Amino acid sequence: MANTCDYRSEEALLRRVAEGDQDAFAELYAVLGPVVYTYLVRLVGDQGAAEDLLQEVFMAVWEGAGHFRGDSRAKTWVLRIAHYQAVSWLRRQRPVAALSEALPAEEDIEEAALAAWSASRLAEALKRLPPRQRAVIELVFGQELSYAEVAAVLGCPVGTVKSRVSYALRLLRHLLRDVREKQV
Amino acid sequence: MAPLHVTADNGRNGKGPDDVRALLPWYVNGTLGGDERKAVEAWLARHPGAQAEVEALRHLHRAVRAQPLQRPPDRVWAQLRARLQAATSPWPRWLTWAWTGLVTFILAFFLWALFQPGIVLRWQAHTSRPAQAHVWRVAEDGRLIPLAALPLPPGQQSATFVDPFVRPGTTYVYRVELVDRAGRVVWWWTVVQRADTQIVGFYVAIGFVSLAFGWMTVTAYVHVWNLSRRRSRPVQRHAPWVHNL
Repeated sequence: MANTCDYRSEEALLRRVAEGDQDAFAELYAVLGPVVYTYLVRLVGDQGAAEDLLQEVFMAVWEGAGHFRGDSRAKTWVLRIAHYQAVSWLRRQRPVAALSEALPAEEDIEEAALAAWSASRLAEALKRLPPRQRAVIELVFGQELSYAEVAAVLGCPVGTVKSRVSYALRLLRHLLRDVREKQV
Repeated sequence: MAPLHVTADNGRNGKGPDDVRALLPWYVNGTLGGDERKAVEAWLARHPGAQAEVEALRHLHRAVRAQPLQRPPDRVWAQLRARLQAATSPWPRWLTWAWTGLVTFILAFFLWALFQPGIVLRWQAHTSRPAQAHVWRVAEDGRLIPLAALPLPPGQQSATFVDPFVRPGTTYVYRVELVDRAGRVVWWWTVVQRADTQIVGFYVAIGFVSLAFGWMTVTAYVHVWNLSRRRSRPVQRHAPWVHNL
């Protein structure tokens, strides 16, 4: 995944956006638009909804850029907006089927993972993850955020982030095994 | 950020291996700080079996990162730009003129109604209980042009009428009739009045004051409006992200 964003330039762009610079806003969209869009698509699983949400996210960026304090990376700040928008959207949809039932007991992750983590299987398994778990996997492994940044994006304590990642990995392992068995 | 308090002794000095194991995803994505990274590496050295877990996480990391970044369709940017233009466009000039015209008109009407420049007719009825006063203007050819029918409440015998639609310097002839409840004319008289030439100045003054006040009011409002749009763009309510980071 080509995801090389210049931290400094993102910060500078966001400051210019705060001053009402529309060119900077276009640049920021060019830099972070794909990142945010990918995150939204993976989180909500609906491209049309992701497009609408992307608009809302960047309108919120335009309107709220002046309130960005610079305590975090611009990307983290924008992803947080995206996360809130996506979660709000998901809450308005029908409740996602619970996937937490019958989790296997703690076992080594490698057995299921190494056998099944081909791209297609992984994509399918990720799609079946509940949004909360999909979000942390995407933020940690897709966006390569630190635990503090993930906590900032999700708006929850670091301890919650750790447990949520741990749970997401267990669930993912379970789903990967399920996908493998179906394919076999 | 809440510190994790991970040290190189984790797993030996009372903290369970899960404390360190929980850091493995961030060890793999390369965002752990120096101390925490060393703590994880020390823990892995003591737990060779966990190396497979790290490899699995690396596999997951590579697989997730290998998924292509999706580019949003061009129409999203087109729609976003249109919304941005709508949100940031300045107050349209034609609207300034329209509002100025409206404010000027309202103010001019108010001032006109307040001062009522024109020919003023006042009379005192000496007959008993007139019900109405009919005011006519007598045209040059003798025609009677009706101007007003003023109701006179019981007990009121005096009345005033202002004819604002007069040409300065022109002499006008008026006929005033007092009518009882049965509609019979009980008294009438004729008045000859010349319109004051100062009326012109009065109208000009009303127009000037109204226009100046209207223009200044609307211009000041537009200035404040543009300023507020530029400096403090509205932030959506219930948007906690804007303050927290």
